[in-house]
Amino acid sequence: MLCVALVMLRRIDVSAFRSEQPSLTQLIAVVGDA
Amino acid sequence: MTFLKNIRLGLLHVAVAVSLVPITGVLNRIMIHELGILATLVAGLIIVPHLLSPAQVWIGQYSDNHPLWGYRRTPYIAAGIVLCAGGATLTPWAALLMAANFWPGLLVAVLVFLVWGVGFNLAVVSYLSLASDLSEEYQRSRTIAVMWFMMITSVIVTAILAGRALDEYSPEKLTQVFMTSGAVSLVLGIIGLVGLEPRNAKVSLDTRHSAAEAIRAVIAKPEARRFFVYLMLMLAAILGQDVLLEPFGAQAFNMSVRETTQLTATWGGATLVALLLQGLVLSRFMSKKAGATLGGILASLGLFLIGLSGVIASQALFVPAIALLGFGTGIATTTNLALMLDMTTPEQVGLFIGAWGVADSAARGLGNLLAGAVRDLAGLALGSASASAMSRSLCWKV
Repeated sequence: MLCVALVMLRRIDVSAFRSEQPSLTQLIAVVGDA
Repeated sequence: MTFLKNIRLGLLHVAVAVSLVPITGVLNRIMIHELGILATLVAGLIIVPHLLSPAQVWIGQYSDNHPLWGYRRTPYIAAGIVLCAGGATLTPWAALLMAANFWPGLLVAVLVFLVWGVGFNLAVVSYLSLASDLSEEYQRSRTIAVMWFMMITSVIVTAILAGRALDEYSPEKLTQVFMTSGAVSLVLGIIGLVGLEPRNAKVSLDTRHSAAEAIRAVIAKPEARRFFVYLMLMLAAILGQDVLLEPFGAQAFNMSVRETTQLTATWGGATLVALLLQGLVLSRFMSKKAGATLGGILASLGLFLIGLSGVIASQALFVPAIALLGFGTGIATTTNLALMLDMTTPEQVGLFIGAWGVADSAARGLGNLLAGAVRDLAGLALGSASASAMSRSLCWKV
């Protein structure tokens, strides 16, 4: 499953996305919310 | 919000975690290895909180609009922690009853795990809502981050202490450990909760998004849709080990209850270190996609080495492999989360965060159920007790 996931990730074009680096606090807050 | 209030909110998170760790770190092993209950069934019971998690939106909306005695969150948090701690305390009795008298035991187990799952979701959504009520907008991330750090630290400490208490396993000791963790959970809940929420407080309520709304927002964008499928696969593969890790250690290496319980601490500690390392250092040098790939590769390597350790019967390889899996999980979590936030507009961030929660819960549920089923089917196909350890190794590799 992980191998399939990694192949899928290679094909996803992330250049179209925004490119912001959220702070560690923001990321942990989202993990905590989940 | 003052730091003391933040710590008290964190104690509520810790109270729930303290009641949870003995189930996911001890009882899974006892049920599968000592009591011989099917791993699929054990996984099905342990994922109950995740199966019920879509109800969090409804619970949150209800508590938003139905304050009790002037308190919007306190009664729901109290009820949640009582149900969560109470349900968790009863789980070993249900497991022992299942082993002695299967069908009545299964009925009791389903009820007890449902009580635990309802309590878990009731408490979690209510104290996260209280955290939002008590924090200014700019403080909220810090508030939740402090709560999360307290929770993950308590998971590690609880795993170590529960493992020590069960140095020599017996059903009596098992129930004592669960009663103690339940009592500690209630005490922490009381310390955290009493007087924390102001009575008749006026708060501005955020819009709550259902799981369906969150998923609709994600699948509307083709690239985000592909990413969501990838995320589900990745999380299910990484998190699906939760139910099987300890029974695997017991069967493949004859590890004691103490040793397997402390695997949770190894995994959690490595995840925490990776999360900090990625967030503070690696993110400066590495793109998010490269970081996500690295996290996935490290986790795959960890899973492969766990499988290999069973095949060559090397406990010396098993424990570092778990640390590697935890480390890869930490890197993958932060980088994928950052990628997911990149896909959305600032107005839709709430929906995408909701989608992350949906993916996390669904992947944990699906991954654990699948891992349990593969383990049981492989054991059945290979047919003998001696082949069982091998079947688990195969399962890890899958």
